[in-house]
Amino acid sequence: MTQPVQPTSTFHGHRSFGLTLNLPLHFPAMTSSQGPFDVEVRYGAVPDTLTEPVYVGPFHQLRPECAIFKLDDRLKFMIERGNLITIDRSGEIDDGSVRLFLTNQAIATLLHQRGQLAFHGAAVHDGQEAIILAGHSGIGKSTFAKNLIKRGWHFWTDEIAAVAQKNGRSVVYRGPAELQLWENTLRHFSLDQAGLETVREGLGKYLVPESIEQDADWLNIRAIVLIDQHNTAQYCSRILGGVEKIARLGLQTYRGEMVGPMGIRNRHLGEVGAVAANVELMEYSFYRGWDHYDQAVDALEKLILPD
Amino acid sequence: MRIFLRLLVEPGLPELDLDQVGWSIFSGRKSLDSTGIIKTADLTNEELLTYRTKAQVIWSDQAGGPSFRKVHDAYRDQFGRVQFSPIATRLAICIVRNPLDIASSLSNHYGLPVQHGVDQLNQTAGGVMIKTPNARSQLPQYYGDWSAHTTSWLDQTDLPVLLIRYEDMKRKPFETFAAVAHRSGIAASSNDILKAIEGSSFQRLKALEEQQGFSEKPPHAQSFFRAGKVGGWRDELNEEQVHSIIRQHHSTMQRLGYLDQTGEPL
Repeated sequence: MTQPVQPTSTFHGHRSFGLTLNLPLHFPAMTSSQGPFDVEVRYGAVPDTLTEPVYVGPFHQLRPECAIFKLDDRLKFMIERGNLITIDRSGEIDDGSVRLFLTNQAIATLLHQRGQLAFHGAAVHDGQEAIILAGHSGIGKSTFAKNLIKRGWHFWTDEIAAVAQKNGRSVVYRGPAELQLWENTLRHFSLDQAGLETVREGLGKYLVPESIEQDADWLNIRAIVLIDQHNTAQYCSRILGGVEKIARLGLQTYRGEMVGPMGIRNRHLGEVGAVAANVELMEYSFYRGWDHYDQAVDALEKLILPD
Repeated sequence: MRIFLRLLVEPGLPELDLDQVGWSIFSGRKSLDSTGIIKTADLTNEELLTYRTKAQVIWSDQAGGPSFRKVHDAYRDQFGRVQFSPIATRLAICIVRNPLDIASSLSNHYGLPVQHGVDQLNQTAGGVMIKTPNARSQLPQYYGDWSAHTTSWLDQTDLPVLLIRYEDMKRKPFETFAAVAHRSGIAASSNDILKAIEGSSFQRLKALEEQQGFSEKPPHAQSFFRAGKVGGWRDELNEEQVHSIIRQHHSTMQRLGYLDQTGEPL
């Protein structure tokens, strides 16, 4: 077991993903908050293995109400009961890595434990409602979001879109105010990487600060767009319905495949069904590569504008 | 080969959909990500090496029968590290093809001039080829030049290897594919093998691509299945391109029967 970094005497209250978090490290991209806290995040010892795990993955172990994520001996997380995250870090790991795995894997797992959906996607809004851009890793969700922001849309969240039901509508909570963009995407947008932080040491992906420009904590969702790429035509779109809609939505959460071992399969299905009942789901495929990217965003924007 | 194996394992497959063949590429992010709560795009190359080896063991445990993965990587990466789990691998089927024919095929794949394919085989830019770390849908992969790549598989001793020459798949298909079935542990009759060979013939796959499209075709390529011809290089490569490939890969080409004793192409 690694020697945990001595807990800091200063804790930082932050609000993101609909949660008020008491964090042992400052998170500049999150809104500050005084509490009361929904989630306690602390430094401490995390075991290498979970007692009676239901699933053992490459870097993690799962059972209902508890998950361990072990990157290596430098960084481990334990996520428990939807309200506690323990971080076991050695001095060798950078803060960026801790923040990244906290806000991606750990928070997503915790949201599932709390009975909320954590979609893997970015979201933008038009001042009224939000659009979630979902899809598998590397498909270009954050890049589409950046492109829409350049066209006047507003940033709302990146990587994790925390979704819940409020007043009979599906809503998405604001995330940390930064986009994660790869180096070649920065070049596409003529953004200078000088002065930008990498998301973590050793990774050519950068944190691009964004302004949220909205006081609300959550926004109604107008549509969820499942982005995909293909090689046969410029772009095509299709509205999904019925069982296909629920099945496809269920696989967009972070990670839909893991809800069984987490013991939340039925609850997850219910939550996904609730979203399917009041949010339009659109599959949107575009021609791979940068050459047609701007036209692809043009076409998508027309589809997501309000009627 | 992947489609032959799919048809052999599932002989009752009603309609063949090229995009639903499965057993996708080993380096595909989508299948690696679905093995857990991690997102491989958040991992460094060092961490990915550990992750993918562990994922391979999980896939193997979950497979419940013969399971295959397409692999472009060399057996070892540029630092000499093994990239595959010996525990989770029953057999490496190493498919080789005359590099003179690969040159134009590879160029077509990327929609670029033939010289591009020659340069890739020879790795004249520095001896390694690594897809960019954020290659959209796939992990970074280390290939090495053609000879280094081929011998990395043939000369390793951790895994059993079955060497298959593309040319033999065309010239003596039954014998070649039957060996694949046998060594893969698939119990198949001669009739099953013949049917799977027919179902995965180049002409059929080319026709299917024309009807259905194929997601593995790169955007700039005319088609994924191009000519499939043995010896097409004689019409497609110029003298200097032929010589540069032979110069660099003489020993491996001779070892695999692509050059005669005097170094002339066969």
